[in-house]
Amino acid sequence: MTRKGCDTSFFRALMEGHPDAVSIWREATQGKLLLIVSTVTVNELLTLYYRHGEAETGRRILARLLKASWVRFIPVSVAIAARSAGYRHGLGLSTVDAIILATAVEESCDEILTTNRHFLVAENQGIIKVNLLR
Amino acid sequence: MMAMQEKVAIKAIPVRIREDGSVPIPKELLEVVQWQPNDEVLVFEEDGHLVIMTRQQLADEIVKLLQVLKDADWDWLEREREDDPQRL
Repeated sequence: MTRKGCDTSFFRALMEGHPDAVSIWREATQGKLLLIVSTVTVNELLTLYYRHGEAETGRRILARLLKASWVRFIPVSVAIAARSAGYRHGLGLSTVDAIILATAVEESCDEILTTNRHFLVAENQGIIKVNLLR
Repeated sequence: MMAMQEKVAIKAIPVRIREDGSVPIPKELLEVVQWQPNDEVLVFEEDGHLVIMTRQQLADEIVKLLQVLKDADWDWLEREREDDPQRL
């Protein structure tokens, strides 16, 4: 099954109704592809809910996402941490960007979904295709 | 399709759990929630309650919960990453 790595910004695009994000979400819901999400995104999403005064909603969406068979959360393994160090050093990415990129690569995703142009360096280096949702 | 958290006007319907542990869903309930025969539904426990919804309902609810963040400061996340003090 096709696997797509998701940056946290994919969920922003989905929230905003970006046509590509909505289409990908629909395909995933139908079981046509699997969305690979780093647990770092859990941290970022929940922090946003906390900052927005919506802690309970944050806990609720996490519970729901964990029930969605088309979303797979991947913890930061030793392999991912090690690979991400190379991306931080070699590509100049931030820690979070590097971990999310390393997660997508370690999980054999065919592309990474993001609105963040920082990831384009990975495509330029031939590491992974970047689907820039703009 | 109707989201599960919406209240529906339906009386309590007694059902008997089968010997194999499965639970029959009464036709009356199926009609209220607009499920069709052969629909795949997800059944799970949450806070001591049995929750049943279709994949589409679950997907729609996740998007609805995301939209709570419509006015949140998403750019703050971006700035946090860019301000990573360890960035090389």
